[in-house]
Amino acid sequence: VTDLDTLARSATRELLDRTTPDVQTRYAELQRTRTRRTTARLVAVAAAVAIAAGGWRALAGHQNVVDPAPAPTKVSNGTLLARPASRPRMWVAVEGEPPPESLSQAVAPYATVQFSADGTELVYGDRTGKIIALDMRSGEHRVLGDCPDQGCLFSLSPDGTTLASLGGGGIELTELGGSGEPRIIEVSQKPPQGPGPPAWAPDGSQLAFTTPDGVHVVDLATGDGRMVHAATDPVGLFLTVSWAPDGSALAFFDTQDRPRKGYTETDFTAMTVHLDSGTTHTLMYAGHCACLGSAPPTLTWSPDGTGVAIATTKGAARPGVVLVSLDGAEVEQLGYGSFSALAWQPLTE
Amino acid sequence: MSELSPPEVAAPQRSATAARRGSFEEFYTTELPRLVALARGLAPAHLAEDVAQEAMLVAYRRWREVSELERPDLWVRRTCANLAVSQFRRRMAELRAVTRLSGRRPPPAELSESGEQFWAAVRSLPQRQAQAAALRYVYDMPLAEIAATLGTSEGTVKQHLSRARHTLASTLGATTQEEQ
Repeated sequence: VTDLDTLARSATRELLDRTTPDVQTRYAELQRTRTRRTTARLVAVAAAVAIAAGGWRALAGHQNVVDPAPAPTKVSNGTLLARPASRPRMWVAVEGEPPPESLSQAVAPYATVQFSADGTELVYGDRTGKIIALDMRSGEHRVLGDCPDQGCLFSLSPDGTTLASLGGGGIELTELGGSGEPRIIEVSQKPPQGPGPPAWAPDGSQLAFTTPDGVHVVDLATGDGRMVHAATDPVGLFLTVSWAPDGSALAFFDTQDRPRKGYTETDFTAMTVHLDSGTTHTLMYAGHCACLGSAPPTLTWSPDGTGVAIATTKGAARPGVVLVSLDGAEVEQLGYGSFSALAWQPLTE
Repeated sequence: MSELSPPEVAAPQRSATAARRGSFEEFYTTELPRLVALARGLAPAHLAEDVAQEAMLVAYRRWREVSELERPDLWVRRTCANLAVSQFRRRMAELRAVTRLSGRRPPPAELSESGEQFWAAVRSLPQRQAQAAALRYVYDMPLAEIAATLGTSEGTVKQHLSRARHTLASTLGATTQEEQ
């Protein structure tokens, strides 16, 4: 039997002897990281100022992987589309103008449907594996390229040039019309497969996604990732993340186990997290499910930035689609039913 | 003796005043090696350098105010100790480590089985006890300095160390001086 102090002395000496960081290299690395983070902060501030001044284009050309989308001076809420949970190809309007009838025939089951950054086009994956942009005014469509995977689960960058999807190696970035070779962003824990891809930041500089452990953001210029919210209890479901239109915050669902007899359900709480401060706010309880035969809740930030639309699941106080103010105080019922995906059109002036 | 005995390992002698007057680079060069050891005592080995580096980044960003502190070294040690035991922050460091696309470092040198067992036992202690114990061992700190580092009283630190000592002895099947 060894004396504790002897053990401690020996273990400490060994720890100190074998911990030999390369100080010079690490110091150079520290300076690079500091510069990178400072630049990122400055870019964020400049972007906010540019948006306020309507001069977004002035920022084009900085080191982002994709260019920021042109940001108008004022954005309002257009059509809010939703996919009924039991009809994986159908899309209905919860608010605004109904989509063309042809959409539900054309779109692939569970495929991506999203509005372009300026709201003039609806982009989706069709049944033949093509990515289609449908002009909302003229009804004309054009082929943008091929889906990056069989399920046509992608997210088109705000500038319309790059697809983000989930591949074997992690997050894959594929340039439309490029060589077809994706750039891989390795992540420690791959997001669970499900009806949606990672979410682009409005300025195209970052991607947000969920893993069972929580919500993550990856900087595309550096590849640095960070967890911005740790789930109360991990859950192996794909869950939606939505960016605030100004890129300052994310809306997401926190998950908590709800033990039942013989199985476990998950409680979903819609929340927001401010990315600079890490401050979180609870929007509302969005229901619970085992989510085997039913869809988990989904959400999208309103284009005007004043609230978050949430498609709740069973057990929520307000079933259907609701619009919640950012302080969680006001809840407006927008539609009834069970929906598995939402897409909200920005109307620009 | 109820608290942990400091190991007979020489801690680096440095002047807090010198650190305050000196550049951040000087502070970094002096402080980093043992800061990484502190992180390694409290967090998994593959995260230790990232955790220590993150603490240094915070100090670098706030160097103007940190350098004015009486003991900038204690400040960065506290930051590092907090980062190392925070599950959330550690996960962030972990994700950052594995999503980094370039600049991968060689894996840290492994400890012997007994060394690894000892530090694993330290890491399994309640957070405050683990922090107090790691500071005591790695820096050979007296109670007053540990208390100043952790922002608590000497009495509380003494209690943490005493409990840590009993748990460590029990976990490792070791004896303590008071038992002999």
